[in-house]
Amino acid sequence: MRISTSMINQSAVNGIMQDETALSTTQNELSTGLSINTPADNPVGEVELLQLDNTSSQYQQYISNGQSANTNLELENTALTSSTTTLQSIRDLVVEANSGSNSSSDLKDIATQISALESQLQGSANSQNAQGDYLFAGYSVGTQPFVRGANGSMSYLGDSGAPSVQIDSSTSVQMSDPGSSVFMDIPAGNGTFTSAASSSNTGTGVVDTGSVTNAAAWVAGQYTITFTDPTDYTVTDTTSGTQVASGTYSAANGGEIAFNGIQVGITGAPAAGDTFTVSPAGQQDVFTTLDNLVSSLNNAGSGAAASAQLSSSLGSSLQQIDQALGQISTTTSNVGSRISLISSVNSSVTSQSATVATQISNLSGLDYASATAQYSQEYVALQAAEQSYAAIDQLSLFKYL
Amino acid sequence: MGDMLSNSVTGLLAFQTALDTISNNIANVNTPGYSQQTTNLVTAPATQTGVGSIGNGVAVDNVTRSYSDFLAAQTNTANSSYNQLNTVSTLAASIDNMFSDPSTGLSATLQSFSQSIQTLANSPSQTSARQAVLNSAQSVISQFQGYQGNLTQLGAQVNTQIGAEASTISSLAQNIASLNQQIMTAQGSNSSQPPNSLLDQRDNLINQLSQDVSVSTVRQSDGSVNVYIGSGQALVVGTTAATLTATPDQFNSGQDDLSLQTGGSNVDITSALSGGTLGGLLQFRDQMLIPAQNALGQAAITLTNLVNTQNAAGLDQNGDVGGALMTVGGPQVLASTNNQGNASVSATVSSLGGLTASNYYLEYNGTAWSLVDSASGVASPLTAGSGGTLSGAGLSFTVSGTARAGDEFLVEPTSNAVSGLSMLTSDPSKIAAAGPLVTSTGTGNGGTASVASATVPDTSDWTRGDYTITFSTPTAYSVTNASGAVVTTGTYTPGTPLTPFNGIDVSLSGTPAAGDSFAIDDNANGTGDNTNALALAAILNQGVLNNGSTSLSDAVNAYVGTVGLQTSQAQNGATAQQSVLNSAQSAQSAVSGVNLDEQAADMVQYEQAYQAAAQTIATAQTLFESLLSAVES
Repeated sequence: MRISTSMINQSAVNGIMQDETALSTTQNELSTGLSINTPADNPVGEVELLQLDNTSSQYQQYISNGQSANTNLELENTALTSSTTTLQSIRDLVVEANSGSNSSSDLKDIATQISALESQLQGSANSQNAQGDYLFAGYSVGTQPFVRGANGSMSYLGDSGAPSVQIDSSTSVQMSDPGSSVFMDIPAGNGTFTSAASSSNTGTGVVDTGSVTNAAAWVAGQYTITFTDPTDYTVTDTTSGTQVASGTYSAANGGEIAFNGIQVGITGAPAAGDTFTVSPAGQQDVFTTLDNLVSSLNNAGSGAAASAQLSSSLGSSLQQIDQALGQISTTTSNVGSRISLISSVNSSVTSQSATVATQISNLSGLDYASATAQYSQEYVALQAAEQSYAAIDQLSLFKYL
Repeated sequence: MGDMLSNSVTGLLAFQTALDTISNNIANVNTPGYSQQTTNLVTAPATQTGVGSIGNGVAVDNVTRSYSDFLAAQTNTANSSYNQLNTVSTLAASIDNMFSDPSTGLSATLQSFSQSIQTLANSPSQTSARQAVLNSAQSVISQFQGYQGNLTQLGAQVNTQIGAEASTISSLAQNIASLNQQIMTAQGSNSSQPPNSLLDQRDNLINQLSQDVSVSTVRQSDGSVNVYIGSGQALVVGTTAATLTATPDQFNSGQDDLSLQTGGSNVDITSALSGGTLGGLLQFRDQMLIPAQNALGQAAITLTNLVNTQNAAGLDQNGDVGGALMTVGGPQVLASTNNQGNASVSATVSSLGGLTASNYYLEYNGTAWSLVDSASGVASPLTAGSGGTLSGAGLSFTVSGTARAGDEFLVEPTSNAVSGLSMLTSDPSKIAAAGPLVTSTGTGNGGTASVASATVPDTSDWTRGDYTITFSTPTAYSVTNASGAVVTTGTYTPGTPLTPFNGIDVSLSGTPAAGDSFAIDDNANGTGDNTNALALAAILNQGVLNNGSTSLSDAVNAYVGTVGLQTSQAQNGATAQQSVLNSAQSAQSAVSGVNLDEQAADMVQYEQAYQAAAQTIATAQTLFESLLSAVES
């Protein structure tokens, strides 16, 4: 086959150019450290890379969501802990007031102390975070949730919203608890019913908070226990007036009065005509409980009957405070479990994120060993092409003529 | 002796000619398009004598060039294919490079927009978090506009190049026609002596033409060549050349069409053209540039609609129903300048799921309209709606005026979108992070029921206010508003949602007791609510495109993959075609090219023959002198 002189040059130049292109591509890979420098280098890999990049930044966001929720929950935890301490102090004061050895001025002093502690509790309930958002306001974080109205009673101006954030593709965590569920909606009495002594009682009977003996037999309703004489009583349904039970009262056997699956204990000596009421348990907020407590301490009369009434009232207050403490402690433990959930999810997200980072580097990172080997191979090829061209260039028959 | 002398002279002359040809070959060793020439020698006719046939030396028959029509045609074809793919690959690389860094690409920017919303969800009341969302939305818009700017610039560049190609092709055609004329004249005067240099020039022009567009030739008996481009459009016939011109298309869409002008006729041949740089430009425009602009527009429309719809489903920081945050350019409908009727058509996006990245022709045949994909030619279903509207391809069309049969409109659903993309607000409080409702279970409820969900499917149907659902029996309930007026009453069946009222859907779980109540309140104060922000953050992964099967994020990623694939295909094709071209060129050059060593050997051969002929003359002289001296003595 004959080959034209210009083609000898042309193909040598083509070869050198091809080698140079290959060398420059490899050089670019070596300098960026990436095997995919534009989507055309590996279209399928590029799409996978974009998805992995998205996943990776989503993981970073989950971690930051978790940290943000964690900060909020830690603040909530602090507020709840201080609320618990405050309520414990109040409880101690109530126990002291109930000792029966206090004069009315002592009781007033206790009432003053409790009022001060109640303000402290209100402060905790109105806790704010660094941005000035109220922790216990539900969604209405811009509104102070616990405010005393013109009539002196506390109202909740927040709502029952509970924002949550995503800390994993399938896990959301609640960032806060609305004040309504922490401080407001506290089951009254023993959770099923409340008991109270009438303020017009003349005897010294003190009613306890009672208990449920047979939940199936309990019929929710208003009941009145009326003492026809110091030892006999009747129980009537207040709404219908129907008598549901009657019996003989004996303080010796614990003074238990049982009807409709519940029982209440009355101690002391009730007088004829004294009444005690049993009502279905609703809910009572902790501030109403404390307001009632302060008012009964301030207004405590003298005498045995008044002292019995105070005792009944303090007993039920103590029960309410315990309910509130229970509610707060439930919330605190929920907060604690959310914090630990965040920490465990965050560590699993962090390890998933590391896996994705490895995948990204496997996909787009350059294998330096093979790239360097390829570079030297291409370098040698280019050198050979250049040298052989220089040699072929010397060949011409005209030299010998 | 007389014969001996004259025979030697014919030899001298013939070898001189051969050496002339060799020197010409050597001189043209680097001339593009030059074909090696050969001096063809023949024996001069012999003289018949009584003693036999006496030779009369040598004669030069002609000088011919070494040329193969077949190999030249192969080179031209390879040249066209290579130039087409090389053009596409070079232009494609400029789109490909826009997406070269995955950490700054559209996908990453969209992702960081979504993340800024999630950060907002962590502290919805914080103005700085809200501002960050607006900023990252602005970055998304800037990125869209940056891409669009690049593509528009690329489009202008392509149009300019198409115009330049058209005039190059026209001028080559002119030159080929004039060479046809010269060759015909030269051959007419002496048909046995080929006008080698003219033929080389013409073949070289045809080879240059094959760089611009695919070309085929038919040789005529008069020596002229007819040249056809594209799928057989006559560019040069004999001595007549047609003119190729680039003119705006019939819809004035900004793309130039190519038409071939011969005599009085002017024919649009855009769709018939392929091969060469021009074919590459057209291929790039139709298969990459327009789809790229449309895909970008589709993503912009989708993003805007999703953001605005989700924002309108919630309440902003002022407690108002969220408004539109972004705006985007609408579909574009362009009437053909050939339309006979006076109809005009406008279009709006009616369904994101049906919206495509294609362009369409909307055609009227005298009785009915049809919608045809401009790239694939596939008809798209078009349904008539109320009020004379038509809907198809995710769009709703309104025709005003009267169309005549044959009237045609170009529909570009998404190409205009990005140019109209902008933020509608710079007020961070306008981001609706909160959900519209907040619910609570009444204090003292005896039943186990709680509100499972309370939603406002469409805030425009919503009558705002606080509502209370009160059960008079475990199955009968009434809804009252804040002033105590009854809004509606109904019967509750556990497990089924309540009858919607005032735009609100409520579902309960559990069993309510008589007297139980549930508050469904307006969340106007809910600056700490992040319900809607979480929904906003999730829109990128919501399946909305392709009838709900593809999310925006997937679509953007897949589009980058498509660009990469098209670019790598063009690059690989160009590389492969380069070697096809190289081997076609070397095959052609093996026949037509000049080899200096060969010329050197030939030169030596003819030099020696020349010396021998000259020696023969000297011998003849010696013979003559010996005769003379014999006579003298």
